[in-house]
Amino acid sequence: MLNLWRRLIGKCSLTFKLSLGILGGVMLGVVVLLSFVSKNSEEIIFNQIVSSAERSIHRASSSLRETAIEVEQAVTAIRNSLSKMPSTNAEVVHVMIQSTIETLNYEGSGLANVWIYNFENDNVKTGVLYSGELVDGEFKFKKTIISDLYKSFPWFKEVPKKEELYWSEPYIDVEDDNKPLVVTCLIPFKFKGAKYFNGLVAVSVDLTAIQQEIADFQFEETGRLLLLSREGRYIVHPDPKIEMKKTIFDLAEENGLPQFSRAGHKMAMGERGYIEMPDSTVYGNSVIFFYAPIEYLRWGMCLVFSQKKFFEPIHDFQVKVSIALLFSMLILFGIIRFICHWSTRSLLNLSKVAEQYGKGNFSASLPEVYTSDEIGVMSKAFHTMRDNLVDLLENEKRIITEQQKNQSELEIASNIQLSALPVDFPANPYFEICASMNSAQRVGGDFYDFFFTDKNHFCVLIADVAGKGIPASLYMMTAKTMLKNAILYDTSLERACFGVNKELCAGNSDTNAFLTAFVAIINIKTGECEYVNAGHNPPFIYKNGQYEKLDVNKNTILGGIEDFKYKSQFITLKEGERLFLYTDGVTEAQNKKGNFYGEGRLFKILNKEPLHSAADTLSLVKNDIKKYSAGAIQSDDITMLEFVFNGSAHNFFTVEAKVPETPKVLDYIEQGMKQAGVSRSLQSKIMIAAEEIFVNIAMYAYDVGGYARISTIVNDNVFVVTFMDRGRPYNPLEREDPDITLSAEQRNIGGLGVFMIKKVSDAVNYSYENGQNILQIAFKID
Amino acid sequence: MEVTQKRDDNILIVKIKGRVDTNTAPELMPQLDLKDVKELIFDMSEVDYVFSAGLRAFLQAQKMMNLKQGKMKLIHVDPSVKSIFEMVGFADIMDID
Repeated sequence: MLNLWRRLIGKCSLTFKLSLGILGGVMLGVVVLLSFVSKNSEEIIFNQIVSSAERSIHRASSSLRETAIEVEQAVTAIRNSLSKMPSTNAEVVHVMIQSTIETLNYEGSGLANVWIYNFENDNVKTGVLYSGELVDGEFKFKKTIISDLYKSFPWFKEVPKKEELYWSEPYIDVEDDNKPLVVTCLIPFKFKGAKYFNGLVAVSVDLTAIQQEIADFQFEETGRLLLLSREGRYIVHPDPKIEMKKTIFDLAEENGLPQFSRAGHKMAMGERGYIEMPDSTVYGNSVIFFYAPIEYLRWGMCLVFSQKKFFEPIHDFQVKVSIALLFSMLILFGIIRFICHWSTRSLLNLSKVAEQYGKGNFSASLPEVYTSDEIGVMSKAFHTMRDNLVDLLENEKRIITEQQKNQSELEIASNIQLSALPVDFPANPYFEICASMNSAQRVGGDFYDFFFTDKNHFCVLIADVAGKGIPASLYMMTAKTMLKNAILYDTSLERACFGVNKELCAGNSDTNAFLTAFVAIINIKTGECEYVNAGHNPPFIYKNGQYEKLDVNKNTILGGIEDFKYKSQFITLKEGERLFLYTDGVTEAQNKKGNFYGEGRLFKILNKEPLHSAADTLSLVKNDIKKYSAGAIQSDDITMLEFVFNGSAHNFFTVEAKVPETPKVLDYIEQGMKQAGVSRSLQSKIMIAAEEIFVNIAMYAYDVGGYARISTIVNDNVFVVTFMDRGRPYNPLEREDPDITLSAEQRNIGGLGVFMIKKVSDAVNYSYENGQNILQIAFKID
Repeated sequence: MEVTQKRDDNILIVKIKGRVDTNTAPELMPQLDLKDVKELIFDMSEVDYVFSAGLRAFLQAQKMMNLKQGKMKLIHVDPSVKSIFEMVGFADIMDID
């Protein structure tokens, strides 16, 4: 729910949100104010109603009250006069009553009575009643003997015992023909010196007029007055069935309204108040019921009316104000929206430009903002950001271009360097050579070289420039060129080294670069070898069936000490002997723990396996280093070179052991057969056997590569073809012969080769000598 | 090895010139369109030597023709070459002239 609200709000524009917020705030304020005002005004009105009601009650009850005062005064005056007299005197009583009646001058049945009676044992049995009244404006006086006073007047029991004014409950005067509603005020009196009360003075008042006056009272149309007696009896009530018959307590009980019962008691106690009734069957909705006591009589008067009429204007006012408020809110909303839109306009423009910037279009111009408010500040910051971004991007672009340039230059450098190292290993009957360099970085500081210095002398060298990367590679190129030139054009190896060293030292005053090198020049026919070691790690020599360290003078590095005289050493290589040159990148290759590969491991791997071709030896070592370092980063260039001296021998035809070289081999053999005068039918047989053997060597002898050496000789009418290779030891004669009696469908393609060799030749001989497979096939020439 | 093909209805005549060795033999069969060929004839007049790979190629051709229920024939075979075929027993399963 909250999320939904957030989403809805999130979709609205800033302007809308601002307008909504402000409007909401204003609305809330106005509503609070309005409700405060209406509550207060309701209170004021209510108070006015209360005082108005109270005034009305006071006014309505005033004649009743005045009457009561007059009556009380009259009664008291008669009582006072009587109490000064020693006994009854009818004349005096007549005068008193007449003057009282005439003073009061009540119309209708207004009358005054004086009872004089005798008590017997505190009970009144008989008495004399003097009464006087105005009949048609004429005073009439009569004297009556009355018995059973108690029966005549219910209040009679009570009154004689108290010397105070007493108001009777209203009652219907049955003796009068008009049956008027009357009320009587009484007071007992004693004659002068009497022990007991001697009688009562009473004045009765006809209430008909007052009753009518109160019943006719109008208060704001709906208002009606009720008059209640001391006992709560309704004297005036809109319902005639209730008048004089029921009390407020009766009605409260009948209708289940206890608050009216409480109001009745309060009135009797002289208190005033009001009751609010939401609904009344008699007076309608929202009725208010004011009550107040009437002094002297201790009666009560109520004013009942619907308050709706009073509050109607207020409610009308509220509705009108609400409508006005709604309209003003709409107008306000429009105004706020306009203001918000106007003030966020620049923000909107900024956001549009920001979007353009986000897409990388920095040419979009920022809108001019002249204000110095927050938007103005932001706009300026935006400007600065754009400028910085443009600068930054251009800088970045430049750097990337430069990097790319460097990268490609580095690649070119790498290519140049690699192309400077010879990779075409000559197939030569006298020797075999293979070399490799794996740079730790794109360009390296190691190098090797080999070349003929003349027809019979072959130079091999390996070197390691101190340092890595571009500087080392540049130095390497210089050194390599110098070395080759010096060796080629100087007849002495010692002098060549001396010259190179001197030249390197001369150009080395700033860089302090140097290199270690091993150079050997071998007579490929005799195996005589002269070598100089310039601070390089001693190469290995393979002799007497194993690799061992070549004895070397350490001399010193090239490019170190000027005028250093390098000393040559000499050995003579025998058939099958080898030189294994390498740089310290081999022995110092590290594994993940940082341990070195080491010389011991190098010896172990070289001496573990049977001999290989030079190419296979390098591959073997490389793979062993790879296994050892197990994914650790190569820290130095790994460079190796192996030279194998084939021996002073024979007219061997040497060819790379590759299938495409087959025609060369076949041509060579064909030539030999022709010289030997081999018959046509035998040629076919020799050729098929030779092809089979060579293809076998080419495909299976080596891991990486090597050579095959072939010779043909004729001896005592026997034509012998010899194949030699440095591949893994393998005797083809041990293969099983195929079953040639099978049908074409049953024949297995392949496997015919060795069978044919045996079949066509007169003798086959295999041997493994000095690290070489030697296979000879012999054919008798007829 | 040079190969020239001549189609005559459902007869394909293939003339081979040069050595059929390990290098060249694998190229022989793929360049022959044997569709609807009932008879495959290899003209061996200019073949001096045949090598094991060549023998395998001819064996493969023979097997294919057998499957198609067609015929294969090697003609103008030099005696020295023929002796090779005989030596490996192919003379019994191929028609060599």
